[in-house]
This record gives sequence, structure tokens and C-alpha cells, in this order.
Amino acid sequence: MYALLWMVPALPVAGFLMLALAGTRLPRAAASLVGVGSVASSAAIAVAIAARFLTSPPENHAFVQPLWTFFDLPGLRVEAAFRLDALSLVMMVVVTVVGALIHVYSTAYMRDDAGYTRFFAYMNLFVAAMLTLVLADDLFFLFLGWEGVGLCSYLLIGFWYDDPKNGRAAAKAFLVTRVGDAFMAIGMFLLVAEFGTLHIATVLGRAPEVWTQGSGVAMLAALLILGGALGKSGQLPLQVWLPDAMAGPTPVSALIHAATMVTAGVYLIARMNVLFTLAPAVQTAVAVIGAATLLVAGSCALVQRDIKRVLAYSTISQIGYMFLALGVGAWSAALFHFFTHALFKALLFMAAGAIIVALHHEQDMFKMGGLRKRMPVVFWTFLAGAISLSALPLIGAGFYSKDMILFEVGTSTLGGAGFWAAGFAGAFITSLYTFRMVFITFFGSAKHEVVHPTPIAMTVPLIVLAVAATFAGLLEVPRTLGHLPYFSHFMEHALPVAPLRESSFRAELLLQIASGGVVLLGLFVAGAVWFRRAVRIEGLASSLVYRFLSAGWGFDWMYDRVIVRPFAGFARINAGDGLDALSRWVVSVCGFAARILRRTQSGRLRWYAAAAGAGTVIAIYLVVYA
Amino acid sequence: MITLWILLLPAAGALIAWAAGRVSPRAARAIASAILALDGALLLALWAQQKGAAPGSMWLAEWSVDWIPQLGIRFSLGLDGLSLLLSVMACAAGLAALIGCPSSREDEGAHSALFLATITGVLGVFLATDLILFFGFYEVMLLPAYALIVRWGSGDRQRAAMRFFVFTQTGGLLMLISIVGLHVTHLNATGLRTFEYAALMDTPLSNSLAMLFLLGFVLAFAVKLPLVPFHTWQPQAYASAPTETTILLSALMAKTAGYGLLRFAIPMFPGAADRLAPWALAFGVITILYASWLAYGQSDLKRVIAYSSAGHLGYVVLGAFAMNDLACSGAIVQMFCHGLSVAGLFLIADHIERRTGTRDLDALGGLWKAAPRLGAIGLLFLLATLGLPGLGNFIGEFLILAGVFQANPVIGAIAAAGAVFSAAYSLRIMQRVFFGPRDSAVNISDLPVRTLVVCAALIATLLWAGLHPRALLDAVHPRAAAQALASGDPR
Repeated sequence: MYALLWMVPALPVAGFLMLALAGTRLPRAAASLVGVGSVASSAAIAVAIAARFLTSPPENHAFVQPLWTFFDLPGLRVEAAFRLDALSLVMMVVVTVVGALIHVYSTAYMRDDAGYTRFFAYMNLFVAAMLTLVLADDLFFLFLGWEGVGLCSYLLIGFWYDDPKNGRAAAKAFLVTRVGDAFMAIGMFLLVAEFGTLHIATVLGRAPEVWTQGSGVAMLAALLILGGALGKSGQLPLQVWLPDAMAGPTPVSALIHAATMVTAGVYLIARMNVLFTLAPAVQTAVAVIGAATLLVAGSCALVQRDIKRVLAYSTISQIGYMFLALGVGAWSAALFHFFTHALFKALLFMAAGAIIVALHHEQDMFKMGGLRKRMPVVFWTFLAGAISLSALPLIGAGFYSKDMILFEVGTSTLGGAGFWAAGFAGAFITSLYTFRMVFITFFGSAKHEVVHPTPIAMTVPLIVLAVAATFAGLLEVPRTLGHLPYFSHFMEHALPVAPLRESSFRAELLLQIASGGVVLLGLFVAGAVWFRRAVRIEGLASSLVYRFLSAGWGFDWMYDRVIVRPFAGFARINAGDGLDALSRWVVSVCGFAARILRRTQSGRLRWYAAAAGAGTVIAIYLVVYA
Repeated sequence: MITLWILLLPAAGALIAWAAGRVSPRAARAIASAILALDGALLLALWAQQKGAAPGSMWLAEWSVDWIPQLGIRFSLGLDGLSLLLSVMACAAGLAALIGCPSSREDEGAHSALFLATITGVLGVFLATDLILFFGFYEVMLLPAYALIVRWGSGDRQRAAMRFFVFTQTGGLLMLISIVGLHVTHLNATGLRTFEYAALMDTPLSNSLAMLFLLGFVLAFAVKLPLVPFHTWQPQAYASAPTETTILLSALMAKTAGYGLLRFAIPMFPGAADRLAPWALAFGVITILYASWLAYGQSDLKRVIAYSSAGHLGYVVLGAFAMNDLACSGAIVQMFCHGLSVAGLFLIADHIERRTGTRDLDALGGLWKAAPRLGAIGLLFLLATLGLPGLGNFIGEFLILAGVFQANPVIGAIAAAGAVFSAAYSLRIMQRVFFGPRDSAVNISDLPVRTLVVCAALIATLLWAGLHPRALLDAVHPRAAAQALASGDPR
């Protein structure tokens, strides 16, 4: 079974090649068959491998499949090989299964689009690149997937390229993440210089032998890797691209900008965990960035009108939770939240997409309203996702993963009350914006005609994910509710155990009641404001704070002034290349000298005779006296 | 002997093509293409049997005869992995130019002849092991290139050609002074008249003399690559030259400078090169950033590619002066892949200009809709340009920067920012040319089959170089590969 591992990424590659080479000549049905079939069969193999992994795990809980050698130079040898362990297994299953569901959904969502084949080609390529990213056992190979997903993200954000706005959003996403990638590349150069290899297991094995904890070079390495993770995962200060990335078709937002690619940074940090343990200050920085991001992005989500932008800010915020968990050493909790988030956020995006299609590509929530009765399946599935996202106590997987993060942040030796308070406040904000979205979209009066019933290709993935998002929490039940830590036990084969302080049963229960209470409070407030309309807040819409939040805390404004405009401005002003003056100067000096010397050639014999005489005198003087 | 054939084939081809041009222009071009293909096939055959090369010798093939014995000048040629790789690239890019551009030139016989004459010069540079011979080829290729620009160029072509000629000629003269100086020093020290590369390598030199000679070489190469601030001839020349010649200039002739650095300048004066390295690295990184920055501001598509090309050759200087194996291997891969990708980009630009009548980025837009194959091919070449993993250019840049980082971490880190700059101008091309709303006034048909086939072959090669760079790198390091084979792949 394990020998089939290479087929998991290879099938989507084959699908991409067939779609890309056949192009529009392929009939639509065939394109669907190839596009969905490749990812679905890849998912089937992935699940079969996972089942095998759970029943009879390979030696040391890791299976390595060598593929080929990139190059073998004195000083660096890079091989392409896949590594399957607990960490990559979880990522692989999520990417393929959620990916396959989103592909099925896309056959309906993109049905009338002229670029149908192109869409599935890009999507298949994305799945292949993402699988390469998570399965690679060498950073060089990982980087191939890392940049590959970035490319697909670019192509899919700009999928409807007629509108220059989409193209700009796509380029922005690529460039901002590339800033992070440049840091990551420098990090890889540093690792090559220090260890002569980029093989992840070797680097992680040698790092503690070579570097002392907290040494400068270890901090630098962790910091540079973190740079790459921040860009890809849309964390402060590189989060600005993700809200704009919503310009892409909604299935893209669900797959790339919610469930998989944007969590690549979380995966990378978890994968390189040893480097971060060796650099405690950087690890703390990860937690600080996570905490700040979850609050900043959550506050922005509160005021957006566009349903996809709410979800985008929510994604940034939830990844902030994952970073917070990574920063305090709660590796498994971060991965568990990645897992549940992939389910419920993909669900929310796809349900939102169903609404958007039904309302002729209307994305403004305030023009929706009253959809509860007209789109019942979408409503109930969206509600399941919303319950999970807001971490409503006991029901929904989000509660279990977020609770795990909050508890471990509070009790980790690397955590503390401050971090916990940030997560706690974030839980309130999350609940508030989630139910704001639910109430505005599905309740109140209808403002739009719903054109057609939701097609079955959309409802089936929605229902599957709604069930999964509701019950996935059972994989990790906390001590207070029966203690079934399947997920974290499984992850212990690949990730270190969280450094938790002893805590009493009572304390844990108290923390849970507190966080559950604050979520319910959020629900109540949202209901009062946007359902019962007991509190009128229309006046706030023109306030400075509101504008500040809806502009994403002004990051775009600042980057535009500080980086984009000076860069483009200099390029425009200097388009003629100022350095050319240098060569023109040489030319004019030569011309000037020529003009002066030309004077001597006047044609007057007396001047020539005088010059010859003077020259002779000087020559004699030099010979005789010097 | 085979090395001589490799050199003589395009030279003879130039004569035949010129004669054939009197009968039919199409025949001239077909003959020129066939000759280049044959030459490429010869080189590939050499590559294939490379593993059986005699151990101990530096060269895979060599050939030598007295030329001007009174001065110790020999006509000696040698071919090793480096020259093999670049010669293959030269033939491939030249062939791509001839086949990829529609042949509708007047006076095609003369055009093909001058084209092949330039390629003969380029191959001569890659093969010569006598310094005077090297210098001769290095200078001789300027003349047909000059003629190509003046006769078939566009815009202010006289001025562009003149600047190109004066700049590179001046650089060449500095190199000549160094060569003669080195010869005389060697003569004084040993009493032996020779310009042979291997012999001159061991010339005892004082530090200042070595630095002086090195500077002569480096300045010549800096002009030709070009390196900022000696680059200002280049955008104009690239923009004014006909596309086939632009490809000659950017894909082939610029590489002779990179080759010269790796083959002659640094190995002959290693000590001086070591002392010059910080400066050379600084100029390399300035070139990368400055040229890429300027590329972002251009509105003429060909000028964007010209500046981008200068930026990418800045990496070659970094790779050469990092003075370690990683960076040096990277520089070779970079030259190989840049030659192919820049040829592809200029072919795309040529097609766009031919069909729309403009290459002004502000006037273009939305071409993907009308010409999806053109868009897809253009996208792939741009991805190669911006250094996407999976395409060969990334391997080059990665190895160079990894090597530079070991030699000088600060320079390596700054140069890594070049990846953001190159992405910025590449995506700008994508947005301005292929994406955006379609201007109904701009009409374009998709790539013709022959151009499509040429571009697909270039991309396939770039993919191969990007996913399996070992094939290229083993050709350069045959001994390292043999050792790895003998020791049985440990991990």
C-alpha cells in the first residue's frame, strides 16, 4: 500500500497535464471526469494509505519513498523523496479529501464558465503542488510545492482576468507571499551553509548537536523560516493579500485560501519544530504574532459587508490561533485546529458560494437576508459551519480544537495569562462576527430573488462537510468530557508533546466554562444587534473606528505609501536610466577635447612653425637640464 | 578534430546560406537551420559519449595546430563540460531564433550568413584555448552582429549599433592589453612564447600585476554581460535589433562574457579574483536589483526583457566570484537556462509586435482570450524568468545564492530580494499583455505551429533542467558524478 504513495500527487499532475494539453477541445463532461476523477482517486488512495497507517504503522511511524536525485554537488545533495509520518498523513488526507469535495462542488459552481477546463487544470495542479509541499522530506523539494501552490493561487485569484482588479489582487498575493518566500530562501541558504544539507530529518537531528539553545544562528534560522510562514499563512504583517484574494472563484477561496495553502505556514513551523525550540525568543514571537493577528483580523471581520471578506478575515484570525498554539509549544493543538478549521471553513466558503451563485454573484450580505427558508440546505449546513467556527460549547468540532488551544496556551510553560486572554477575547470576537454573518444573511427580510435550487453537486459536499465539521471533535475529547485524546496521541509520533504545567480537573473545567460562556455571550450580543435589532448601531458605520477596521487597520494604505509608490515612482521616473548620463558624459568630454584640439589644426603656417619651434625648445630643455 | 568540425560547420554554412539566398530566401534560412541542427546534434553526440572520456585529461575533445609560431599563437580548441553545455545552448537558442521567427526578411541569404557567422564567433569563444584565438573570436563576432542591427534593425538602429560596438570594443581592448601583458610577463619569466591558456595559468605574477590583468578581463566581460553601470548600450541594442539578432545578443553573446569569467579571468588570477570578489559581488547584486527595478518601469516589452536579462546575468557574476563549487555550478546552469528562456521571451515579444503592430505595454492587454496558447507559453517563460522552482532558472539562482551566502552572507541575503523584483516585473508583463480587458482594436492570432513547437521544446528543456538538474550538472562535473557512482550513492 505504501508503495502507492507517489500516486497521490502524481494523479493530480496527470490530470493537470491532460487538461492543460487538451485545452478547450475537451468536452465539458470529459473535463469534469478528468478534473474530479484525478483528485478523487488520489483521495481514495490517500485514505487507503491512512487506514493502513493506523492499523499497521511503518517502522518508527515514518515511511520514506525515494523518487530521484535533483543534484549531487560537493557541498549539497538534494533528493526528491516523500516522507509519510503522522504530520504529513493528516495534511495529505485533508488536502485530498477536502480537495475532492471541493472539486465535485466546482463542477456545479463553474458550470457555465467559459474557462471550465482551465479552472480544473489549475485546481489539479494546486492539489499536486500542495501534496508535494506536505510530503517532501527535503526543504528544497518542499519549496517546489511551496512556490507551486503560490503560482496556482496567483492563477486562480486572477482566474477572471478580464477585470484588472482581479489581476491586481492576484499579483498582490504573489508578491506579498514572495517577500516571505525570500526570507525562507535565505533561511535555506543558512541551513545549507551550516549543515550542508536541506534534508529535513538530518537538519532537525543535527541542529541540537551543533547549535546551543538560544544561540544567534539558531534564532536567525528560525526567524527566516518564520518569514516564509508569515507570508504564506497571511499573518501580521504580511496578511494584506488574503482579503483581496477573495477575487477568485469561491471554490478557490474554500480550497486554497481557507482549507489548505494558507495553513502551509503552520505546517512548516510544526515540521521544523526543533529549530523553534532551539530559539525560544522566536517561538515566543510566533505566539505574539498569532495573538496579535487573531485579534486584528477578528476585529476587521466584524465590520465587513462582503460575506467572503468576513470569511477571509476569519481565516486569518483562525490561523492566528494556530500560530498562537505553535508559539507555546502546543504543536498537536495547532494541527488539530488546522484539521477542524479545514472542514468548517471549507464548508462555510462553499455554502457562501452557493448563495453567491443563487443571487447572481451578489456578495454583499446586506443585500441577502431571509435566505433561511429559500435555501434550507445551505442554511443548515452553513449553520453547522458557523457553530463550529464560533466554538459553541459541545456541538461542533471547532469547540474541541479551540478549547484545546486555549487550555494549552493557559497551562503551557511557554504560554501565560496574556496569551490566554488574547485567545479568550478572540473567542468572543469570533462568535460575534460569525453570528452577525448568520443573522444578516439568513434572517430578516428577503432582498433578492433566488434563481435556482441548489444543485446536487453542491449540496452533497456541503452535507458531508457539515457532518464532518460537527463530529470531528470526537477525535480529541478533553479530560473534563471523557478524555479521548486520539488525535494528540497519534501526533506524538511526529511532534513533541506540549510542555504543560500540572493543572487540576477543576481548573480545566473552569477555563472551559469561561470560554464557553464568552462564546454564548457573543451569540447573544449578535442576536440582540442583528436579529432582534434591540440595539441600533447604524450610527457607527460612519465612525472613524468603523472605517479603520473595514480598511484592515490601514496596512494597505501604509504599504502603498511606504513601499509600492516609491518603488513604482522611482521605476517610472528613472525609466530613461539615469546612469546613461555616465556614458553620455564620456562622449561629451571626448567631443569637447576634440573641439579644443581641432583648433590647433588651423592651416596657418606661422602657427605651425611657432608650435614646432616651441616644442623643440622644450625638448632641448628637458634633455639638457632635467 | 571534432571540435574543429563544430566550429567549421556554421562557418561553411554561412557561405552556403549566402549562396543559396540568391536562389531562394527560404532555402537560405532552411540551410542555416539545418546546419545549426547538425552542429547541435554533433555536440549532443559528444555529450552522450562523455562518460567514456579519457580520465586525466581536462578536455573531452581537443584539437591544436600552429598558427603564427613566431608569436607563439596557436589555433587550439578544447571542449569540456562547460563549453559543451554552453555550445549546446548556443545552437539551441540560435535554432529557436531561426525557426521561431517567421522568415520574411528581404535579403535572407545575407541575413542567414551573418547570423551563422556570429554563431561561429560565439562557438569559437567557447572552444578556444589560446588567448589570442579567444580574443579574436570575441571581437570578430561583433562585426556581423553590428551589420545585422544596422541592416535589419528598427528604430534608431544606427545609433544603437554604434553604441553597442563602441562599448564592447572598448572593453575588448582592455582585455587585449591584459592578454599581451600576461604573455610578456610569461615570456620574461620562462623564455617561452605562448598564449596557451593552460601554460599561462602558471605565470608567476606580482599581486598588483595580477589585479591589473584581471581588471582588464573583468571590465571587458562587465561591458558585454552587461554589468551596471556599463549596461546602457544594451536595452537600446536589444530593442533596435531584429528579433533573431536580439536573441543572438542576449542568449548567446552575453554568455561569452560569463564563460570568459569562469574559464579565464578567475582561474588565471585566483588570488587577485579573491581580492576583487567583494567588489564584484557588490556590482553583481547592484546589477540584479537596479536592472530589475528599471525593468519594472519600462513600457516597451523588449526593453523590459532587456533589463530583466541584465538582472539575471548579474547572478552569473555573483556565481563566478563566490568562488565555490555551488555558486559556480549555479552560474553555469543559470547561463544555460537564461539563454533558453530569454530566447523564448523574445520570440513571444516578436509575435506580439508582428501581429498587433506594437510592443507598448500600455497599448496591449487581454491577449489571453484571443490567443490562449500564446498566453500559456508566455506565462511559462515569465515563470522561468521570475525563478519558479521546477524550471531550470530557479536551480541556477538557488545554487548561486546558496554559494554566495557561504562566501558573503550579506550579499547573498540582499540578492535574494531580487526574487521579489523579478516577480514584480514579470507579473506586470502578465497583467499588461495577457490579462485585463481585451482591447477590440488589438487583433492577434495565436502562435503559429512552428513557433509553438519551438517554444514547447524550450520549455520542455527548462522543465527538464528544473526537475532533473543532475543531468546538466553531471556534464559539468563528470568526475564528481563518477565518484558518486563508484561509491554507490550513500545517504
